[in-house]
Amino acid sequence: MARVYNWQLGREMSYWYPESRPKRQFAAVFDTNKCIACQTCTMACKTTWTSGGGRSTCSGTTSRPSPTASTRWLRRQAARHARRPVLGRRRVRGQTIFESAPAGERVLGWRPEEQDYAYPNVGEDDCAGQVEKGAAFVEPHMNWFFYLARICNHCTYPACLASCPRGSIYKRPEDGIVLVDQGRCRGYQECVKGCPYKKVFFNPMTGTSEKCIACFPKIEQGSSRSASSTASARSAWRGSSREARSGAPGQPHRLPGARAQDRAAPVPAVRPGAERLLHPADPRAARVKVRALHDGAWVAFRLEWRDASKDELFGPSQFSDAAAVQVPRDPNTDPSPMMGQPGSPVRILYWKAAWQTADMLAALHPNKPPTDYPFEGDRPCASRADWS
Amino acid sequence: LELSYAPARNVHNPNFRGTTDAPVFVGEAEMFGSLTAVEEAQADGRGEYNDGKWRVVLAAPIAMLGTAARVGRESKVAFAVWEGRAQNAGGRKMRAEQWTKFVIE
Repeated sequence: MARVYNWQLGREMSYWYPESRPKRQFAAVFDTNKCIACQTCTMACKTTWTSGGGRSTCSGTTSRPSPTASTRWLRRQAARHARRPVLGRRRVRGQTIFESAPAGERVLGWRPEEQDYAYPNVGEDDCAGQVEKGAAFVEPHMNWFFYLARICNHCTYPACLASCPRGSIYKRPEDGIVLVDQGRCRGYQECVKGCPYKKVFFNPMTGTSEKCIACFPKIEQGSSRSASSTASARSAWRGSSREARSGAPGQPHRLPGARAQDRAAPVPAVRPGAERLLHPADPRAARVKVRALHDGAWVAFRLEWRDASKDELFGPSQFSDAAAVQVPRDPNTDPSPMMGQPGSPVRILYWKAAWQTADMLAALHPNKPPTDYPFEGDRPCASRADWS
Repeated sequence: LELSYAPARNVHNPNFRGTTDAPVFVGEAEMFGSLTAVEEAQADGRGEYNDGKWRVVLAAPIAMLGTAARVGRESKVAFAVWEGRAQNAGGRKMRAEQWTKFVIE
C-alpha cells in the first residue's frame, strides 16, 4: 500500500494507489438549512439516468438520515471499525477504512442486501430525540432535525476504486469524477462492499456495477447536474472545489479543506494483484470430477461437483455459481496456473449459472408488476428477454 | 434508447448475456484482473443442478483454446469453481493448485 496525504484527517494514511490529484475536483454542495427532503433531486437523477431495467435501487442522490437506511449503514460501518476516526480534530489517531481492512480485504466494508434497499424513505421524518415545544436553536446543538443529502462524493481516495480487483474504476484527471468502466466491470460487487456511502449499485440486468457519473456529459457541455438544476429552493449546487472556495454567487458556504484538496487527487497508477483464495486443504473446497471428449473440431469438458445450494441469480449480495476451464494459449510457455502471467497468456472457458436465467429481474422479484416506461414503442430494458 | 440505459450492453461487456447467448464465454488473461473476452469466440455449454450436484458442460472449438490445444499434443488444463452462496466472485474462488496434464487423443 502507498502512503498518501489525507487532507480531511490532516495526516498521511495508507491507500492502494500512490497519490496523484486531478486538475480540478468535482464537488456538490447541499445547503442543509434549505433542504426539505422533497426528493426532487432524487427524481431528477432517476429520470435522467436510471430508466433501464435492474436499476430500481440505483439513486445518485437521496436525502435522509433514515433509521433503516443511511444511519443503519453508518452504524454497520462504524461497528466494523476497530477505532473510529474522531471528527472535529485536526489530527486523529483513528484508522481509516483502508488501514483497518481485515486480512484478504482491501477496504473495511460491508455489502448491503436487498432489504437494505427496500424502504429508502421509511423513518426519514423520525426525530432521534425530543425537542421542547417553542425551543429555539442554541449552541451547543440540542436535538435538532435536518435532512442530509447523500450522494457519491467522488472521493479524493475512493474506496470503490481501491476495492476493484480489476481496476475497472477510475478517477478522471480533468475533474476528479469517479466512474465505473462499463466495458471492464465483471460485477464482483467489491465496490458496492467498499463504498462507505453505499453509492455504487449492482445492476442484475447487465451484471455490472453502476454509480453516479456526476452528470459528466452535462458538465462537459458546460451545463449543470440534473440534481443541482432541479433542487427546490436552490439547496443543491455543483462545481469544482476551486469554484466553491472562491465563493460563487448565491453560495454562502465554502468547502472545508478545499484549498488542501485542490493540490491533487489519485489516479490509478498500479493495479494491486492480491487474489483471495480458499485454501485447497479447506474442507469447504469443492472436489471437481472432470471428463472430456472431442470430435476433432470441438472439445467439451464436463465438470461435476457437490454444492449444497443452487445459486443461479445475481443481485445485491447475491452471487452465482460458476465454473471455468483454463489452458495455456501457447504450447511453448509455462504460465502460472493462477490466470497466467505477462507474456504467457491463458485461455479460459467460463460458465456462470446466472447466464442461464432468462429473466433475471422476474427471477429476483417474482411478485413485481411489470414496469411501464413512458417511452414510445417497446419498453426499453424492461427485461433481459427484450434485449435478445 | 434501450442502449442508453444499459451502458454495459452498449459497450459489449461480455458479462451481459442476452437470452439467446450461450452461458459460456471464452476469455484470455495474462495476470489477475486482466481477463478479456476473445472477440468472435464461439463457446457453448449448460449446467444442470440435481441431487446437490452441479454437472456443467463447457465446450469450444479446439482452435479457440489456443495453439497449445491440438489433437495428439500434450497440454495442460486447470479448473476453478465459484460458490455463489459463499459470495465467491472474481479471485474469491476454489481453483486447482497445479496444472493437470491434458492430451486430446
